[in-house]
Amino acid sequence: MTEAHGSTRGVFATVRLARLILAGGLLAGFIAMLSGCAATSPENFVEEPGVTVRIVRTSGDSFSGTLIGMDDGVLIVDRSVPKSSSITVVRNDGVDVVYRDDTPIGRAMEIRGVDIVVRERLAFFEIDDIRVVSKAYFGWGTAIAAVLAFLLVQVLQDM
Amino acid sequence: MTLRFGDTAGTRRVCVPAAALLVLLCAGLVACGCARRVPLTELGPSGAVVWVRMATSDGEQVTGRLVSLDAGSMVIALRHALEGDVRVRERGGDKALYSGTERLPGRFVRIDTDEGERVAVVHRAFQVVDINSATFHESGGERSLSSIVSLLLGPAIGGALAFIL
Repeated sequence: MTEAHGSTRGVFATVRLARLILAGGLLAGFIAMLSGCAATSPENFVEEPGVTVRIVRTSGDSFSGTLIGMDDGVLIVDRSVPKSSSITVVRNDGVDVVYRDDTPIGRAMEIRGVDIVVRERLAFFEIDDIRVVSKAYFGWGTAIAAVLAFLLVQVLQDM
Repeated sequence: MTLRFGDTAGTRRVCVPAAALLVLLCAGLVACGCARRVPLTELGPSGAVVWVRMATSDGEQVTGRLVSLDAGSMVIALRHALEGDVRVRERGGDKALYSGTERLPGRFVRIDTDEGERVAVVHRAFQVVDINSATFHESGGERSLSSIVSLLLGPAIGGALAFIL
């Protein structure tokens, strides 16, 4: 009886492993095909300016932002600043200037529910390190979508 | 769903989702690590693609791939189609790109083939003080692949795991 149970478990485990390998292969093929679809000419780039960067200031603090461009030798970076009591926005000559503790930090490009997109001008001497975030295909959004899909399929299977 | 401990099916229902979520969490963490952070001064050899469209104080407009950027200079990879009188010449052991008899600015790097056309790649350096304005752009291919992957890969992995387990 025990031997029969062990044998059945072994078969189930093998089937599960085979399914796992099959699904992995299908996914790999799927992604490879998508990569081919996304392949474009080397001259192709997104018209809208913006490259994700990680910046460390000489003062020591670091943040992620979007490098938009360069103007008069100064880098222009958009970053998200959470709303708080120390952040104020004052309209001056039609421009929304963002202040942190009464110190201007940049222009408000977009005021959202929980944060403000601030456009800062950073001189090179203010920057200790700046790195471009490349090939960020996966992120928390992908992981969250995976968990949600997993739970959804589980619910559908239970119905 | 009623769970009966000791019952094989019930136990499976309790244990499998936790294990699967753990696997997904680990996969997510590993996937987050796939992104690379490349210093702006080392973009060229890294393979990371950033495009730059810039205008110099002389009024010249240039579009190319960013090779490096620091406080003093910006180096851009420019592509010139080898057609007409544009060709690579070697003089004194040094290869350079010429248009007719005039040497084009920049350091010759290599010859690529782009959609059947031969293209010369040169690296050209600009002093930051000579740059009037510049904008930085993502690679179109990388952006579209990123959207596709994040939109489809997550649900695909989650759904597949739920079916398998």
